[in-house]
Amino acid sequence: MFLMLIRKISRTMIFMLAAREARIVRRDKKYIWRILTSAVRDMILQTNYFSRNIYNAYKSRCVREC
Amino acid sequence: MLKLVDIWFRYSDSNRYLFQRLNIEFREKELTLITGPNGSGKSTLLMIAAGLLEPERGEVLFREKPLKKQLPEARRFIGILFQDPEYMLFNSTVYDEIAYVPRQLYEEKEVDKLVRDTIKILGLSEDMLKRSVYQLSYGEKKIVALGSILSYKPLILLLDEPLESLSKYYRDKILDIIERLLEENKTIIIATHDPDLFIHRFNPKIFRLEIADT
Repeated sequence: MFLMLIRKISRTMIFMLAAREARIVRRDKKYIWRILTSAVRDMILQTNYFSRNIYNAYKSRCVREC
Repeated sequence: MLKLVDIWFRYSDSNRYLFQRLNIEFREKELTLITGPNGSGKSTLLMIAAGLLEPERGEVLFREKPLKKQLPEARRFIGILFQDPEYMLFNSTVYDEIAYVPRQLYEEKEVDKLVRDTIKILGLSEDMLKRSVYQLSYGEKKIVALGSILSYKPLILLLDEPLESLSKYYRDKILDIIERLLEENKTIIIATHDPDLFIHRFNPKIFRLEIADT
């Protein structure tokens, strides 16, 4: 259940962050902002990919509802 | 045993179809290799065959019936080893990891027997059972992840790059286990970008995926 939640939260967060980042970068084109927002975005994308795989691996070994 | 019929699949964030009208049948007691370049959908095909990803169109049949309608119970007959063992290890000790599925099916006494039998098949010592999965080397993690699906004796094994990034010692070990599983008449499907390692030792059926232009 926790993993399912993580999966949904991280997907939503990506969209939110992408939208935020687009606004920030357009408003302030300093490199520090680009670096910071890219780092956070990459971290969340990685978390999303990781949690999706963990969720599938977990599901693959649920032979009953779990 | 396991049949993919007229499969159409694309990821929700992509316009490109990874599979269009894909038909493939995995017969009982056979070893099939899924090969192809990176991005051709080898891992995705295994996920679809295991019922973890749902195709846009088409159906996966297990014993001539839709797999979807037989889940989650049918999962005890289909074991999938992920390419990265990290995803599969979510219990604290090796024992708990290998016992995870048997605990859903059997009494504790039988679970214990299955875990110890599995450890023997893997060629690991019983001391290993107490170890934390986080302290294992990559090769050990891969072997334990394999053990976590062998413990409940599935009929079909889907192995995603089982030899990737392993030393010769662990590669040989996994090849020995595959040989043993074939002797036990298991159906094995392996996704690999290096089929030669298997062709030299076994006589597999080979299914090659290509990247579509559209």
